[in-house]
Parts: sequence; C-alpha cells; structure tokens
Amino acid sequence: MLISNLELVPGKKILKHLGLVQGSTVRAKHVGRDIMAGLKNVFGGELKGYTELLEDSRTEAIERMQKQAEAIGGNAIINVRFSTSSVAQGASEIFVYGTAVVVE
Amino acid sequence: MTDDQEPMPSQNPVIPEGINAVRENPFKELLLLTTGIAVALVIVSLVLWQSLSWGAKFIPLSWEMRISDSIAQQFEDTSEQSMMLQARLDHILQAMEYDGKVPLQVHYVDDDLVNAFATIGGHIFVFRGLMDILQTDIGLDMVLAHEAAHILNRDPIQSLAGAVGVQLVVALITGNGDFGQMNGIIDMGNQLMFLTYSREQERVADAMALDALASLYDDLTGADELFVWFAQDDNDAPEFLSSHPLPDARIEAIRNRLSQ
Amino acid sequence: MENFIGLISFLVLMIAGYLFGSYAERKHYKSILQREEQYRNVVLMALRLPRVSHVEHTQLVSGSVVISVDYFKRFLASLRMLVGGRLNSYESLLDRARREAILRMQKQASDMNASSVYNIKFETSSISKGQKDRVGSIEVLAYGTAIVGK
Repeated sequence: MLISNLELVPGKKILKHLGLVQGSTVRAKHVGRDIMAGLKNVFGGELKGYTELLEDSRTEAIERMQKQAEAIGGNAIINVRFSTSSVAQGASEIFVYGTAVVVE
Repeated sequence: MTDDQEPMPSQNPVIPEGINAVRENPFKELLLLTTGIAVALVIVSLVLWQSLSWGAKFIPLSWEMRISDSIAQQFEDTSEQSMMLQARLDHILQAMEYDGKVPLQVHYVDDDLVNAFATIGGHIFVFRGLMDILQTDIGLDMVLAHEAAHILNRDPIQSLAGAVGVQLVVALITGNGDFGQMNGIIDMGNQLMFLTYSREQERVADAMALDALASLYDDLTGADELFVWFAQDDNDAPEFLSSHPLPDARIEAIRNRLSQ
Repeated sequence: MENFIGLISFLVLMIAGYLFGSYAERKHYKSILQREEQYRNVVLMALRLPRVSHVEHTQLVSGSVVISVDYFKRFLASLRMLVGGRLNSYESLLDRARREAILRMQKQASDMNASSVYNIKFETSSISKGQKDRVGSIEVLAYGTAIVGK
C-alpha cells in the first residue's frame, strides 16, 4: 500500500477519497530497559532500547492504519502524520493518521 | 487546486471495530502476567537468597558482633545461671577446638518458653523453660554444643543474609522501598530470634555437637533428652522447631551415632 | 491483619474496577457507534486543502475529552509495564477517547450545518503523568476546519 505524507500522489491520479483512517498502539518497555536507560541518562548517548521500541510501535500503528484503509477499500494513504505521546510513566502511544484514497 | 477534482466522499466510511483496540479476555492476560512475574520473582529471590547466604560465610565473625552488640547489651547479665552456662560453653568450645579469637557468649533468659537459639555475633540464648525440662548435664550440653556448632558453621549470618535478600526483593516489588530495615538491623530483633536453618545445617550441627560431647563424656546416653521431650509432647513444641527436622528423626540419628 | 485489610481492599477495588469499568466501556462504545452513524455525513478529511467549491464560510471546530482507566486495567497495565509489550488495556482507552473527541468536533460542525471538516489534527496528552501510582488519565483534542457550503 502506498503511504505518503504528500497531499497527492505524483504521476498518479486519485480516483476517490475515502476519509480519515487512523492507527495507534500503546507499548511499554520492560524494567530492564528502564534501568539501562537510567544508566544511559548519566553518560548520554542514544537510548537504543527506546528507539527500537518506538520503531516497533510505529510499524504496528502503520499496519493498523493500513488495515483500516484496506477494510474500506482504499489502496493508498496520503497526508500521513505521526504523533507520539506518553500515556503513563514508561508507556507511550504512537498514533498515525491520514486520508485513505483510491489511486489508479 | 484546480476544479477537475477527484470526487469527495459524501459520508465517512464504516471502519470495522477491533483494529486499534484489540478485544482480548483481560483475565487471560492477568493470569499470564501474574504467574509469569511471580515465577520470575521466586527465581530472583532464590538466586539472591542462595548467593547471599553463600557469600555471608566470608563475613568475619567480628563484623557480626558489631551488628549484634547493641542487642546483646540488653541481655548483659551476671546471674548465676549465665555464669554456669558460660562455663559449660567454654568447656564445650575447648572440646570443639575453637580458637577463641571471638568470644561466644551465652545468655540466660528468664522466661517459660522452651527455647534456645544462636544468633549473629556469637550469642546463644537459653530460656528458663528449657533448663527446667533438661534434667541431665549431658542434655543441656548437647543443646549448648548444638547452638555453638551453628555459630562456628556461620549458620546464623547465612540465614540472616538470605532473609535480607528475600526482603530486598519483596521491598522492590511492593515498591515501598523500605530499606530502613537494612540499615537498622536492630529492628529485626524478631527475625534474629527466629532464624531458620536448613535440615542439612541442623544435621551437621547435631553431628558436630556429638563429636564434641564424645570427647567430654564417656557415655553419650541421654544426649537426646530434649528431642525425646519434644517427641513425647509435640503439641508443646514451639514454633521455632517447625523448621527443624522432626524430633524423631533426630533422636534416631543421635542413637545411630551412639551405637557406633 | 494490616496485610489482610490491604488485600481485601485491593480485591474489592479490582472487582469494582472491572465491573464498573467494563460496563462503562460497553456503554461508551454503544454510544460512540450510535453517534458515528448520526454524524456520518459530516465528512472528516485529513487533507490540508479543502476540495470543495461554493464555500460560504469556514470555522475552526474542536472536540476534547479527558478519560481515565479503571483500577483493574491500571493494575493490568502496571504488570505489563514490568514485562514490556503492548498495553491492550490502554489501547481501548485511547481508541474511545479519540473517537469521542472526533464526535464532539463533528457535533460542533454539524450544529453550524457544515458538511465536512478539513485538516484534522490531534493532540494527546497525559494529565496525571509523573504522579506515582496515578497513571491513566489522558486528554485527546481533535481539531479541524469546518466548511459550510452554500
């Protein structure tokens, strides 16, 4: 499925707009990662565990958005946006939304 | 944008449920998580308990004394019974070939409880209730030698270290972070009285005690006096014995030894 | 004794949390589905540029909601946070909150006879974050531009 944050699909004609689709997931990292991150906060540097976790969540959120778009008969999602929010200490939500369309 | 627009929908699509919020039985998850976490905690506590008890052997006895001194001071007494018990203990320690670098002290407690215990810092407590029951010298010496053997084997500190490890885990999960208990071991007075030992530790202590008695007495008959009493009257056996090997088993072990 | 009282109150809170929480959730979903049907003709678009001709006027519309998770789900989530992984119990909370926020925005748009809302954006924030043992209240804000046709 074509996913883009442009408002149009270059070189292709949008046949039909279907409407808003969204995907979200809430994930928590395990205590071990929290501890490692605590150490990292002392020395600085990338929190690999967290990056990985958020990357996984983002993939899942996109998959869910795709599922919604497929369910209503779309074959592309345009103008996609991400938002990340921390729901609780140690748990964060990845939310992604866009417009499902049918392209040729 | 130009006017040759693609058609706009006239209403919102009907999106099926259950994509963003998966319906699952929460009890299944609850059960899975609680059992999983419980198993993990038990394993962590066991590992911590084992490693701390093992490591505690290497704490010198003189360090133990610093922890226990403040408690033991409350029991400082020069009663006739204490002096008598101390004399017996010193005699037994000689038989055990103890180097005596750190003095082992015995304290008499004026209480009905049928109990005697060894605790950290080389202190042994003997209750009046126990002395009333024991009619023979060898019966009393057996108890003293048994408790002294625990101290020489470093059983009390191992038991305490293990218990502290388990408490640490409990404090970590309950999240109350009450590590004050670790600093003020004095608060653990109750715990110091009810240190529990494994059956193996008890067996070894019994054997060591009998070895010592063998060099003091010509005839070991009667060394099992206390256990015989408990076996007769096991309703009266105080709680501290519940972790000990059954009196019957110990009597048998002692008799086996006597017959050798 | 103290532990016993603690355990009892924990069990009562768990059971009450589960019963009331799942009742409230079922009721909320029912109302969401019913209102989604009602406002189905207020078209939601995430596109920035409206593709509508004959516009009379446009206006910013928004809808927001603060919603909390029940004791049972919160406990489940706190266990899950030790292990890591997906927090199923919070996902339905966020799903409900987001749809509720959209519906409130749609109602606002519908009240001014708008036929569509463009450039929809969302904000999600946790209100009680950082306070110990007090997780699970979230706010969702949905906003966009309502287009009232001629």
